Amino acid sequence: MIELRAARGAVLKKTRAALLFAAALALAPARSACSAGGAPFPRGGERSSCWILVDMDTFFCGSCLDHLLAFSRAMPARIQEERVRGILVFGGSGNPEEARRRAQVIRAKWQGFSRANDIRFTAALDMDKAFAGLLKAGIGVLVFDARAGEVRRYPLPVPRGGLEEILRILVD
Amino acid sequence: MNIRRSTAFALFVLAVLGPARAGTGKVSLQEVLAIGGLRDAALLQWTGVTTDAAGNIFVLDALDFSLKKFGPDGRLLKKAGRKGQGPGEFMAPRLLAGSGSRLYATDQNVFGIYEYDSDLRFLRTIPCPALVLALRALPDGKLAAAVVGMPSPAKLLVMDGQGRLLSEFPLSDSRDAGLLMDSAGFDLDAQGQFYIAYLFRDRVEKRTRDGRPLWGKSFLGQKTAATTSVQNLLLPKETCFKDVAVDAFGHVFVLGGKLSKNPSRDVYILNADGVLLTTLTLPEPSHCLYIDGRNFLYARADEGLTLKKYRILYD
Repeated sequence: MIELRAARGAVLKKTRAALLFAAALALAPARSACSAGGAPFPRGGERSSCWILVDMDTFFCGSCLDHLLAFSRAMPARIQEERVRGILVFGGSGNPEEARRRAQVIRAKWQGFSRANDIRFTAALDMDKAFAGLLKAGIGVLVFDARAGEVRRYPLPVPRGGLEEILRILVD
Repeated sequence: MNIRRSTAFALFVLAVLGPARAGTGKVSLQEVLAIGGLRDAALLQWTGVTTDAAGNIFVLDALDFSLKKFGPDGRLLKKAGRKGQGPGEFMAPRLLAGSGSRLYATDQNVFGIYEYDSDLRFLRTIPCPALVLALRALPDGKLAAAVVGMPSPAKLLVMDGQGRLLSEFPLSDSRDAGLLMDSAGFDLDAQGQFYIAYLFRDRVEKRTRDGRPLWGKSFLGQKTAATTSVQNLLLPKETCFKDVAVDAFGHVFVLGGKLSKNPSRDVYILNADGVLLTTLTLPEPSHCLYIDGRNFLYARADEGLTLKKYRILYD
């Protein structure tokens, strides 16, 4: 009886260890398991990413274009394609027909602009003005740092050293 | 007898004045061509436009930093330029003017005027002592430019094709007008006299070739543009007028800005004496007006994705 209990205990221990090992494998961040070990937020397979908020109402202003192009040119094509997304923020009237038309204009303008300037990240229209407040607060870039389990914000133009920092987060 | 005489006199007056009044009543537009559009990436955000005698249409595009040539049918024939600061490159292309086989373009923050041939080959940069706000190419190869005045008042310069200054006059009689408050657009009539529309002041003026004022008028109830503080500088933020163009009959088309009833759509049509003849409302807001040598009017649509060409119809 005692032997049976001991054998069952051994099996349970092994099973628990196997389960813990499997869970550790599943939960560990893809590349940073050691350095991020113990951090509560990172999850397995999660990669850092970045949203860039583009104010389409002032898009045309020369320096705004420069800041946006400087950002995209600092990011390697693959990083842009895989980790960066644009949010196109625009104002307009409450008239649904006018809003739909404006959205079409913004979409066409962005598609042409990104093609002409080799911008590789895709973008989505902020139909419900969800990001207008962030833009007004001077936030131009949101970075989701998977390794640290943190979200960072940056204005656009990104301050000195910021582009390198964002790139480091996205590449890690 | 008196009634007969009165009727005869009235008919005589109508017969004499009738033809002279033609073209000063209602004015409307008939769209004849649209370049670009929602499903066509031909234009992204056009800024300057001019045409040549063959009917080709030349356009600057701020979002792909280019100068484009379209045929009379609206087909894209050629594109030149890219982002940069080298010859033939743009950082922020803005104004375009043409005369004969030459095109003249400006880059917003560059002290100079780029010269091209009609095949869009960059030829050279013509020096200019200040940033250009408005530009016209004169038939005799001269250039007229309204330039920013900081701190002095803005000026209207006439230069030869090499950039040598031939004449100049200030656009404001006050040095206290405020930063950029004397910014203006302008056009010339067949006699070389200037029509000037101020961007941030409710004022349209006619001046002689040497800058002597002939008349000055307000059309917005003397509204004043609101200002905003940018890095401790007080800058205007609302436009009174955006552009001015003279048609083949000497009518002056002034495009109203944000302070007009239909912002960036109302066009005030004046005679050569500054009398308001009628107003016309563009189908969509525009940042500029251009009237070519064949009396077609060009304006913006779809926030710069589309350039529309209209025939001007006079009742």
